Amino acid sequence: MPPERFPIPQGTLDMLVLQILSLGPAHGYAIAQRIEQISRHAVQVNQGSLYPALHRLEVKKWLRAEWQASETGREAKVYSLTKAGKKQLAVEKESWDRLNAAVKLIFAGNE
Amino acid sequence: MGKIANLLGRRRRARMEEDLHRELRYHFDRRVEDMRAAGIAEGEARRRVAIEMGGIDQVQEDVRETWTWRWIEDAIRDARYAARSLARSPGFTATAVLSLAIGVGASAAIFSLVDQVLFRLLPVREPERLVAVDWNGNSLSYGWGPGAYMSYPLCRDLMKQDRFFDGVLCRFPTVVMLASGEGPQAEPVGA
Repeated sequence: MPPERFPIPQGTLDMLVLQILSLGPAHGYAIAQRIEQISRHAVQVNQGSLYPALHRLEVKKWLRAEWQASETGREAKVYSLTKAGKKQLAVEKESWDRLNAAVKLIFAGNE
Repeated sequence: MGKIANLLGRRRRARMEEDLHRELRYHFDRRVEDMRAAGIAEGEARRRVAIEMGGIDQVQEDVRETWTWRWIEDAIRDARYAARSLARSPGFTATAVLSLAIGVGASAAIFSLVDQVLFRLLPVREPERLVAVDWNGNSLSYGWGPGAYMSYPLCRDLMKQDRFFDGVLCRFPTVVMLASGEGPQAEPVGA
């Protein structure tokens, strides 16, 4: 019986963050919430790795950050996708699809 | 790692730290609020969020590490860019290198001269007791050099005395003729 909730596999958090931000700008807390909601709570974001990931992506210029008033009125650091970030998302999606297809092939060969 | 991190501008660094603190604080407070809305008591909510976030200090440390990498990557990129631009214009590079070489060389030469003349003591025993005796008489130097010549008898008297100086040396520049093969040539020789 597999567990109900999965920690995000190593290396895929960056891709998921880029994907969430391609839907619109968001602050860290909202990004974590959205990943959990969209995956119907199957995926669990480790807060300890979310912020280093956000800062890493910002360093690579894939994200841009800005302090903005959030929905509660308090200022939050809001991230949005840059052009380079969009390109990177396409690249990561593509390689993820290929890996996925390869894994499926390997399983299909066993049946 | 800490040393390199120190090289980041202190003010920029302080700003980044403050931003990070605010950012994590925001996350923490929002999560606690959501838990309270779900009916969890404040104290319990805070405890749970702290566990969930896995220690704010650790998160901060992990984020700081990404900053250090940025600093290193920026420095490497800048150095590469500089090297490429210099390689593209060798004339400019040669001029710049030459100017720097001449500048550094000249400064070093002047410095060693000034160092010897002004800052180092003369290579004699007890240099702090050494004095130069000048003579305020009729100027015989015809506008060459600062002063008047001291007469030889006076000089001899000075050399003999033991009241003021332990020893006195008199010197006088003169010109002598030296002949070598093609004929005599004037050579100034210290005497």
